[in-house]
Amino acid sequence: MPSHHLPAELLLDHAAGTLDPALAVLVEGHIALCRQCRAEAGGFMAVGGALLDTIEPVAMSDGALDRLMARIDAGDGGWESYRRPEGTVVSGPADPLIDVLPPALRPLGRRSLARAPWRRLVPGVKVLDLDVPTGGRGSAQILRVDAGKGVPRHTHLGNEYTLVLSGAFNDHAGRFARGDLQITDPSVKHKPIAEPGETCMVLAVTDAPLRLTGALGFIQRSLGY
Amino acid sequence: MQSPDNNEREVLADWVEAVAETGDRAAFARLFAYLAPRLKAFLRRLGSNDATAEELVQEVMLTVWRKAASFDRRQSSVSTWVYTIARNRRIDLIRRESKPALDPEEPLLQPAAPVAADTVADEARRDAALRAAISTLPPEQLDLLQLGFFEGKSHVEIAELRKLPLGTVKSRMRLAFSRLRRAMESYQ
Repeated sequence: MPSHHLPAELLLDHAAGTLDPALAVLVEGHIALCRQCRAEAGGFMAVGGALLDTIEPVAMSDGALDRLMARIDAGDGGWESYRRPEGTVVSGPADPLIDVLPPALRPLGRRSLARAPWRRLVPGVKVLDLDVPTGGRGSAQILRVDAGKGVPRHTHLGNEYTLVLSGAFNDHAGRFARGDLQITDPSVKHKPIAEPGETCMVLAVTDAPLRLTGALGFIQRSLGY
Repeated sequence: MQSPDNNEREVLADWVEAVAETGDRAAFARLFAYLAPRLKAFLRRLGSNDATAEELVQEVMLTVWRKAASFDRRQSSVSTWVYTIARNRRIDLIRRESKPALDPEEPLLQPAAPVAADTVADEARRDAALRAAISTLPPEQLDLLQLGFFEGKSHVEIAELRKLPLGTVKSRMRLAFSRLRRAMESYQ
């Protein structure tokens, strides 16, 4: 059971359906790995249902039901019939990432691997860009950190949301293992280190790109990361 | 504020089951009469014009007809189930607008509804507790909750709209959330 959870604002935005797609992926990922937040997400959805019951109704136009019944009689399958059935497999290269992703996120993982390979950020750390629209100047990536290695000290222009998929890392704020969610705001400068023994994979979403500080930051900026 | 009592809640569930089991059109007409005007009000508040809102209501109700068999009264109320369908349809539309080049059959566009089947011990009682908690929220907290849900407003937008300091919006939201969480806690 994860020990770092979704804050109420994200649960509300998830239930309201207003998260941007990259953040929605992260929230779905945590919910898949955390029974407690899954229950809470269900509870917030029930808030939506309760509010729907109490809203002041607005009359439908005349004949609305008849028009709908005519569509049903004509065999109209509606919007859901245009979509691919659930469970359809998107092909992509085999990769340990797929095994650590919750099933709902595997198609996204496969598609991202098929689009572009892992690239090296610094020794011991690889990055995969996820094929998902990000809000504004944000990013959505998987970081693969070798056991015992660390992501260089960095800060962000915006918030950074990190979901641990495998292994564990430690930084100033504590220990984060599979399913744990860390949220850091721009004031935080941190240097997460993967624990020895196991590769640590995380899903990292930012609403603005990360900035390495110190000497590596200069190199990063020269390389155009 | 009005909210269906437990009996009405069971009646709505009976209607959905009648649709699922025998394609009962009379039951569907009653569901439509209850749900469609509420869905329309919800979509209007989210900024859809009258024609678009009606169109979306038709699509959501078409899904209610087709997917009635997937409704499980032990897992959620009819209103929550239908709310989730409307939410997913809206996400689907927004994602297509924001990235039209994306394959429309892309699985990512299928917004996953949280599966709460393994998490809720007694959904009906949780729902009743939740409704009771909502009906006793101070008006200023209920207002913010509705803005968040029905108008998709962020904290910052709500603060601007209501001419409140951001800190006030955040603390009221936190108060509302903690009341609702406490109400639901014992049932999950």
